[in-house]
Amino acid sequence: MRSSLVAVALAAGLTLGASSWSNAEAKPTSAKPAVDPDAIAALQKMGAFLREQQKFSVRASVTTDDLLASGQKVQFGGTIELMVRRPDRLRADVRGDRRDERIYYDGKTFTMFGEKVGYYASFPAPATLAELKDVTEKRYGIDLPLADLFYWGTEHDGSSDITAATKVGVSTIEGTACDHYAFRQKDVDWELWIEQGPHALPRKMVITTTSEKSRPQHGMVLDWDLNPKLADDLFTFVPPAQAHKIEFDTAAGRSASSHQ
Amino acid sequence: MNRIMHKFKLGGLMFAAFLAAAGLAPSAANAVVVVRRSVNYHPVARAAVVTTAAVGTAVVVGSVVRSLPPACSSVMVGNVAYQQCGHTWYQPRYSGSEVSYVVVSPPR
Repeated sequence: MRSSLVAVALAAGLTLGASSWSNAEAKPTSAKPAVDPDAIAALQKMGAFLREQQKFSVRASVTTDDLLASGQKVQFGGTIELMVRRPDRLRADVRGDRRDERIYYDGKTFTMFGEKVGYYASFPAPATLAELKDVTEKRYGIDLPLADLFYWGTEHDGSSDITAATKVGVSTIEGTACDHYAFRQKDVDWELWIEQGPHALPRKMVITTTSEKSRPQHGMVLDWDLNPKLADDLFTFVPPAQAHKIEFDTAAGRSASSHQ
Repeated sequence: MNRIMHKFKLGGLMFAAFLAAAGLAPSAANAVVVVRRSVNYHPVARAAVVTTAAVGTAVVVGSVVRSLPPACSSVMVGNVAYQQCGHTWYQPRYSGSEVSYVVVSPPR
């Protein structure tokens, strides 16, 4: 008798519990669309804040999954240091298990230098960073590090590709309080941690490739300095004595050579 | 030296999602399986498909490799940098942000 009462009470409790859970879940999902406009607005606010910065440096600690030929997933790491002085200076140092590049742009010349291989290549560059980006990507197939963070809130941000966007919660990244957002689009899930308050900086990012069975991830933690000292000579490449100049393969040249 | 199968389109790539969002990333259709020695901070599937140089096989002039076979020496001919690996000569160049090597006719 006693045990059956307990069973009834438990069942009732469970039922109550279940219904209150489903109520709790039903309300927000029915009220909010898959793409929460507040999450998109947070991206755009971040982009606008980044574009306001006339000079900054940022250090990214990066991890990247890759697959061995056996299919086993392994992780590689590295750092990117990016220094920018608008409108016409950029320097990037990329170091990693499998990366080694320095990028110099001083408003006149763009140079890519691989310290380990001892080669560098240059081209006469357009006068502003905005123009430079177009040339590096379209003509030379070079993607400037982190450049895409700065798109959000412009007509190039492609927010229409996002099929789901939501705020996950609050999180502390390296001591900084952040809002944690999750986004989905075709083949890719990604998460972004944006600093709370007036400095809407991206502090962490994780990209998961969902179209691959192993679901490899690419992640980074970003450390920003919005008032760096950036001397002119940081941005101008002076070739070391032992370095050799080579040429860039232009995008057109590259596709032609792959067909030979 | 590990040979890495870079089998995924976007995962190895910094801010791939942003790129994809910006319409800059390669579409799924042109994503390819490439053997890569290094990973870009950025999507790369649009880069030419290149392979690690095979050792002991004839190498066709004009073919492109991402890394050299062992035991090469850096040689300057005129003002041009080459890598000489046995009887095969390579000319280094930047393809995107990585150095690749084109097999060339011996310059001397």
